[in-house]
Amino acid sequence: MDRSRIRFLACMGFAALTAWGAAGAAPDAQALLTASDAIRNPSQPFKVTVTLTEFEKGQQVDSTTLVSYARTLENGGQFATLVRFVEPARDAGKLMLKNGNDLWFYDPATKSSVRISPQQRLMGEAANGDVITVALARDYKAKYEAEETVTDGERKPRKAHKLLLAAASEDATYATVELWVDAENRRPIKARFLADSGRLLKTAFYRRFQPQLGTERPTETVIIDGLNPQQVTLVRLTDFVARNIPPTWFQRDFLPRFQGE
Amino acid sequence: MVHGRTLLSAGLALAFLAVQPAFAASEEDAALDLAPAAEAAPAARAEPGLRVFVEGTAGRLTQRYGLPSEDVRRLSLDLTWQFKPAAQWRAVLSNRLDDIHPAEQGSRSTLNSLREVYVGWQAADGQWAADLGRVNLRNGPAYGFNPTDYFRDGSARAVTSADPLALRENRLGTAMLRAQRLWEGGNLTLVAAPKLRDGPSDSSFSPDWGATNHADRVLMSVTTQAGSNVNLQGFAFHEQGKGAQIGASGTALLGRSTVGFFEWSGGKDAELLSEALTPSPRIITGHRATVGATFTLPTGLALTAEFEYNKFALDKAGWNEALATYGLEPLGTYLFHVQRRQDIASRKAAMVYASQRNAFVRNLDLTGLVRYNTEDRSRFYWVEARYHFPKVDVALQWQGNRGAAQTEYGAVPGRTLVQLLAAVYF
Repeated sequence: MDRSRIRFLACMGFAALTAWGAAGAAPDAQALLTASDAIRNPSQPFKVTVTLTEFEKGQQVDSTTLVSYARTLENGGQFATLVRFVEPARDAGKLMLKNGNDLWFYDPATKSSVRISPQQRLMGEAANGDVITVALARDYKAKYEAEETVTDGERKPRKAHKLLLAAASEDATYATVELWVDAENRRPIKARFLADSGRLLKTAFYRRFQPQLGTERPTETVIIDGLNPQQVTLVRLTDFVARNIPPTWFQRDFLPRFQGE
Repeated sequence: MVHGRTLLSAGLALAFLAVQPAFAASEEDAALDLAPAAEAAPAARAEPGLRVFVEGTAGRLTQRYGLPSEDVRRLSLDLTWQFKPAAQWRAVLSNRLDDIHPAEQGSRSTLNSLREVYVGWQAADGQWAADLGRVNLRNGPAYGFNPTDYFRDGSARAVTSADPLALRENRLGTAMLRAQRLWEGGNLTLVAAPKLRDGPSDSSFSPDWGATNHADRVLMSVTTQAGSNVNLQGFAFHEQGKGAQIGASGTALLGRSTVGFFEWSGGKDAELLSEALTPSPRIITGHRATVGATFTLPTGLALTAEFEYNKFALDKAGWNEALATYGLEPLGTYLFHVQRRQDIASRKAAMVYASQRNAFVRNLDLTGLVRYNTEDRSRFYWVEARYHFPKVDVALQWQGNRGAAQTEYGAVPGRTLVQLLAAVYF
């Protein structure tokens, strides 16, 4: 073995040791993501009232109230969500169901259940993706980026772990997500959702942490549109209740029967 | 000079990039200051049991055959009420009153549609459910023509709009006993719908049991999840006096922005022309099928294209033969009969449906539809611009029947209809 080859192998070995050392020092990104998910979403089946208030140029332009029922699916740990529209009156009684890759929209006036794609919007701007309970750790692979100080939803500086999430399942709504998790308590602080092209789709701030179903959870998300930051949606969660509706109800053919529980 | 201009542009771009984060930060700050105008009152959050809306239209219809243009109007009161008489039970009443001027031929101007009245029960563990009464059971994922929607026959009591989705709003349910066994991701459903009357009633306030329960019918369906992206449903159906049909339907997610669907039903049924014109229709064996997809553009524009096939309807040669044998007017009766049956009148047809929410301005929805008879190339167009106020919808609708004389849409007396619509939701 000549000297240059020995030198090359030695360098490779050093690089590998350095990388291992660095990896060992960084917090486990996927574990941080799982911990942050557990703060956003109760682990038991639950019911929550969701109020979406939409703003344009600082003026309130729309408001939608829904009741959401969510439970984790047995296979894979993702949530199944059944959403019932309460207000405005024209949409009252309409339902949206997300179960795995199945996304259905049911209109009681026509009795029709229409399967929709993740891209399709049948209700307001924020309705589909933002009212559905999602375990990010199931759909994204997390990579540790850095420790940063970030301004939270209450405008306070927070020491945070910045994670870079890459879509790892067909269910993932976004190509990439940048997520800041509170270094102290693993709470989600802020997220930036990006398209395949790298374009910013929206920024979200998680705030108004309150004790709900066993732990302090964010009860309001401020969502700022990436293309038009003047377009803002406040997603407010109230009346969290543990509610275990049967898993058999999370299917298309049950929608005409579902009346809310 | 060019070099200098380039440098200046680069400098301006850098300056812009330098201040952009500041803009972004101030926009985020402004967003974080926002709060809803008023906290939602607890009463407003109550889940709705009663839904009521009133809808009115006024428009102008231009006609063929030298007929004068006429004013058309409609007023509708739509009510749905459901409540729980006891745990695991529910009661549903759904009714619509339409006052239509001028009335369709052979129809009353005032028509009450008792769409649903039934009681339902479901087991606490979610594995069993049953319903008894008039239930509006609709099957099939297609938009314009649903071969597996076995209870569609006779269900349209008043045709108030040609929007294929809105057409179903005044659809009558069928008196039935329905039992359902549910499991995670699927179910087995059995339906028995008895004959109650011989035929439909044109009386204004008749519950019209004969429209929907004119023969004994049974239906069995099984739904299952075939893989993570595919949802399938299978059917076995029998109608007294006609025979048995089997069917299948499915939907599949094809990427992030496309949903594909199909429906097929095959077996014995009445040939539509003989059913429309003779007292003892000819029963034949044939197929009905629909295949299509909905594609959503990044702008939110959803486009649905659908191809439809109906062995029981007339092909081009059959239409021409019927025209030569019976003349145009009996073919009008055929078209009306097909509409009542919620079928398609031609052997092959296509449909394109497009909808855009928040088109140009927030709360403005644009919807359009083209039905195309591929046998005679006649077309039906329908376009709507609808603006949503908090409790009121206002819409402008245009619809047109186009095609050569003596074709499906070219022969319809009404050529163009323009109308305004207002709906108030309570």
